[in-house]
Amino acid sequence: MLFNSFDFFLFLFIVLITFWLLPAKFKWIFLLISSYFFYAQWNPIYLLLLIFTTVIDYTIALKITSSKAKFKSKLGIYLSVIMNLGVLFIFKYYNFFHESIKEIYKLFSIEYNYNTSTLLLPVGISFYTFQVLSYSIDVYKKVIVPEKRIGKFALFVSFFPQLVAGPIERAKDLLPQINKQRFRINSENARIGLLYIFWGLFQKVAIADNIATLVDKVYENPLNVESGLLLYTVLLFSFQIYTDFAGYSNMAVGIAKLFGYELTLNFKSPYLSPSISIFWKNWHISLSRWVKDYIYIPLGGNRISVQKTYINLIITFFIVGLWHGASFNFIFWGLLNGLFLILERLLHLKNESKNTIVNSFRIILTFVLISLIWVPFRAKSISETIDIFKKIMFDFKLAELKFWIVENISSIFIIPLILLISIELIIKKRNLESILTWKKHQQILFFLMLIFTIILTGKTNGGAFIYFQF
Amino acid sequence: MIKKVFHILLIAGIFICLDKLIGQYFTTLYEENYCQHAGGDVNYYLKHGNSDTIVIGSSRVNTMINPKILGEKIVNISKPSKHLYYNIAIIHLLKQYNKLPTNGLILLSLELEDFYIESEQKLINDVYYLKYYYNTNDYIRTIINKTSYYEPLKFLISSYRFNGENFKLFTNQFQHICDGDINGYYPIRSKISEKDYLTKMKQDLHEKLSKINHKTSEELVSLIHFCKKNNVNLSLIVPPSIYYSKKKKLIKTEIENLCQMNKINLLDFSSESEFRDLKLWADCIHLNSLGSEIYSYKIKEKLKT
Repeated sequence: MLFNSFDFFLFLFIVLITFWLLPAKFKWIFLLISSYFFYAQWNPIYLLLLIFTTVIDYTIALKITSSKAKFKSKLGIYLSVIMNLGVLFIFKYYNFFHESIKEIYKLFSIEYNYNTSTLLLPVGISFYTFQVLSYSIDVYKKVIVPEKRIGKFALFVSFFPQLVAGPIERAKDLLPQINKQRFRINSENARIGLLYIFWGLFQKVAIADNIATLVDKVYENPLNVESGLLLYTVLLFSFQIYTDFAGYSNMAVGIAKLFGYELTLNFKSPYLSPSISIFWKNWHISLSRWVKDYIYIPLGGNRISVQKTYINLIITFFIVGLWHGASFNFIFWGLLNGLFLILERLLHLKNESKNTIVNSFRIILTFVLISLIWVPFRAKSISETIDIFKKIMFDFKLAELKFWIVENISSIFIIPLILLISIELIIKKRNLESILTWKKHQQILFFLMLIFTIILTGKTNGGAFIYFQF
Repeated sequence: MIKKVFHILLIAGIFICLDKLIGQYFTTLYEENYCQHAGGDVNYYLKHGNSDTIVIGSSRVNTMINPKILGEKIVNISKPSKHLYYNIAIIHLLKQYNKLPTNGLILLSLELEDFYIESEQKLINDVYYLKYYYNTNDYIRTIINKTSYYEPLKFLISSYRFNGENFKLFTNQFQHICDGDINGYYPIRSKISEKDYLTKMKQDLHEKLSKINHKTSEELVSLIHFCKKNNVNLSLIVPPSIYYSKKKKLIKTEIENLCQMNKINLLDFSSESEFRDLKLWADCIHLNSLGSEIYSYKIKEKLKT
């Protein structure tokens, strides 16, 4: 059930009406059942895996706090980490791990055989695994007390708006909301929720899915396309991946809001960042906070020597890359990000400039750099990535691009893209909700513009969200 | 509470009025559009077309069959990247607009790949190009509704029929003539390289064809009956291939049987060795201008016999 499908909206409508009609004490139970139903639509068998993860981590968290012996608590957290990462390894990294060993053995002309795993990747496994891990670690570090009611903990793990592609929520933020006793139908929440839902839907169907048509075509055989058009596609992919993921995240935030829950905003106009360091503070915020709190800082962060800080950045982004996908492409993408972060520190370009013109120039440069860094994320292999870079840098031609632009000047995503950039510039300093402080007629105009743009340009039968594959 | 309900009703009312206005505006643009894109070529033929023989298909017709070689009063209304369901929808539209060549001939070029397509949705998506006619054409409506139960809900919104190429509709009104010849023949002048040919052969060896999609065959049978009912002679063409594919033998046999049972003329060029010459090909799928000329003459010869 994709968020941009009628089936989902029907499901949401039924769940919402029922939720608000039920007495307060039954609301969370109904949400839990609905969340399990939602997840089972992807694959009922993997619902068992989700329940298994929930039960194990619930039990371990209680044991961590109940045992007086420190070594037992430590054992508990190690067990939780090994179990969660173990499950992730089996479903996501098993084949990649063995393929990597095979490549290493090949260097020494030694044959390496293994049984290929045919297990399908459960939807959302990377997200909910990190979410439960953060819970276990926070319990161990005594940041939070463990949740005693297994049903409410299960809802924390499986809350359907954020289950399949985040945001990765912290227990200290979501559990208190799940435990609240009072619910009031709030028209303000409804307005905010609908704003995020429509904005997310607009980003996904009007921009991401339409850009995907060109990007997919070019990336089928990127070296057969002239470098000017290739670079244009590379830049467009930046918009595709942003609007695809942000679209989903915004819809998740909006849907949760309709139920009276607050989720983390995952994006804050990331392409208007004047440096890659600032970009990572505004892109996939829940993941970057997670890796900062549970990997980068425990490694020492930037409180140690400069060299060790750089090593920590590399390690952190190695894990970020690996989290995204079991392939060297993603690792390469992660490491590229890490390297540029180090470079920014060396050149003292981490923070934004006070000069507006310099800042504007840096925003454009950062956007182009980020777009180029996205190439391994989309390309089929590292060698294809390198070939694409070589083609853009050493064989730059514009003829095919000029022809394409003339032929496709009325490309279906151009107007929605202009609308997106305009709104991002307007809300840059505040957030999307600031639109609800506009005058009433301006708000109505904005909503109608969004709705009609979706109707007139939104891709019919668009694809799944990109981040669902993680 | 009453105020909120009033506000909601007011916004709904504004939405409905705007929708009707936008729908009407784009309808006017569509009806006046004769340019190649955004349905203009289809619109032009449905209003002004008149011929005894219609050639229809995808890019293999669009770039490979020269109607002027076939004869007089023959028109090529093919569209690149549009496959069987789209072509059948065009034939139903011709009937709706009284443009069927009654007692004349429709030459429909078949793509064997359409019969191996895993998901019918890929063929259905082509028909969305004609969604302007959703409300007036039963076939188009039936095919589009196969996507999901909710498709009819989308079409309750007037402006949804213009989802997709509406900006092009807007820019087309500043062009006063059609792009190129409405007789849709656009030959390709380039030549395939041996390297590309060998790469394609290698890919094809590893390609696993899915099972035959019988829904495609069923649609073809329905079309045959439709043409018979409307006194239209239907001939099917299987275009030439750059190499002989054993894998597609199964569906070819099925099409041959189908044509025999229904007494339909089948012009099969897929096995003709004359077309194995790389000089005649622009890429692995399309003949170039030289190959297209030879192909068009061969069709003319076969039609005479």
